[in-house]
Amino acid sequence: MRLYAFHINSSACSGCKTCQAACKDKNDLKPGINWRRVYDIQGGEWISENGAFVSVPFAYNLSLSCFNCETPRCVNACPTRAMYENENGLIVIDPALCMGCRYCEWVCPYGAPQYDSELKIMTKCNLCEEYIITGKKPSCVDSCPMRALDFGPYDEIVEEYGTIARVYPLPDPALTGPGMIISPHKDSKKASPESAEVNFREDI
Amino acid sequence: MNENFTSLIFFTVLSQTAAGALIIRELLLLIGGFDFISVKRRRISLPVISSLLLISLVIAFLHLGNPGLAFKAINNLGKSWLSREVFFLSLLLASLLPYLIISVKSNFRKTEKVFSVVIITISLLLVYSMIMLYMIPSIISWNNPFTPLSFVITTFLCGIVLLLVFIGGADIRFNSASAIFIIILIILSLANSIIFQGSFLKQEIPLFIIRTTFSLVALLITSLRIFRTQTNKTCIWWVILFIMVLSSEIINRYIFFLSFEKSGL
Repeated sequence: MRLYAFHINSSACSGCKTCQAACKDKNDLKPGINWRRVYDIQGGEWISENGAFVSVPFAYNLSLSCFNCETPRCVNACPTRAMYENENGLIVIDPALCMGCRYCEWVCPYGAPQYDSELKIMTKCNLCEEYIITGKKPSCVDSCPMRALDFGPYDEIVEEYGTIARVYPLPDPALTGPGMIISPHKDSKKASPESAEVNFREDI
Repeated sequence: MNENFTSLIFFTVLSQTAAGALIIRELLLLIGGFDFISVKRRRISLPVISSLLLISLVIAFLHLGNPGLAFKAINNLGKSWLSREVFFLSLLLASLLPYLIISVKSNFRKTEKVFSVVIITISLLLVYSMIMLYMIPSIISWNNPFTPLSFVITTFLCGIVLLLVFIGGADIRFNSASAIFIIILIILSLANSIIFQGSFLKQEIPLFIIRTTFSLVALLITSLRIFRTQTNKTCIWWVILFIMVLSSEIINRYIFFLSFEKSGL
């Protein structure tokens, strides 16, 4: 059962990465480790119009983190049980058990588990557990200047924002049952593997 | 390419080679197909295959961040294919140790037959675990029929060629049957690469050409007279054939890991 969900308003997200910075600041993350990541999806095509070719570009952003999935592939795949669901229903990592095989990194379609090359173990977003158990929202959500992110109990988020959990290039939500609802950008319908790509990955 | 892939390439190919050699060796022993081979030649293959398996396990540790915790890798046997892979590999090594001792002291007797059945079963389970481990829904380039086919081909192709290094030339019928088996597997391996892996090859074309060259040399060696003659001398051709086939499969596995392409982000 999905306890919590993030809401991502892709139309409102300007791609400023304040959520990403707030997450790094709050969790004191090292360079290269991003528990929250803002992806920039861009694309477009040239269409023939009245004898001329007109460009139809589009761009939108997706801010992603761990979605505490209903069927967490990372938990099932972890050979040492270092990845587990804790007493608050959150998927966390026991660093004392992680052998750094990075298999969870492979199986998660959202790129949530992140490898710490210094400690040689996996790390991941814990949804700011210490905040949410006291009724607060995760730091990424509260920091968003565009109010593009929201967080709450899964049922409440679904009631408020609907059930859409997939836009390009996210995978089929049936794969893991993520605690995530998206209000898609109007241009996301135009995006496909042929027409769009994730840009500026080096900036993430 | 992910930095931890290199050791996985060698681990998967070497352990599959050892598993394949064990499956074929034990099957031949069970059906009496090894009667033409002297006990001495039969025995020497077992410690070599076991050593190969042990080496592959050590190589597997190299990709871990904390190899000291590797013993905890069997904590999640109920859900994790990685746990199961480590379990079956350890079990195989553990069962090979008493088998090695027994086989040195005796000819092929009832106890050894039990061991043969156990080793074949564990080897098959090991290969199956490895296949399932890489059938990851979020990795579109691996979650297709190419992966199981590729792993099974590596297992039996490298396995039989490794076995030939020890017993090759001992019997014409065995040589002929091996030659046909090897030719079919090499052709299947190349076809599998072209059909299923083709869409993921892209910039790996030069590697594919090198792999194909190794495979073609292996095909050429397989068609030589040595497969139709009987000699008890150790033949350098078997060793060259093994190197060609192993190199081809290692490059193929390298391409497989290079093709790593995730759906999602």
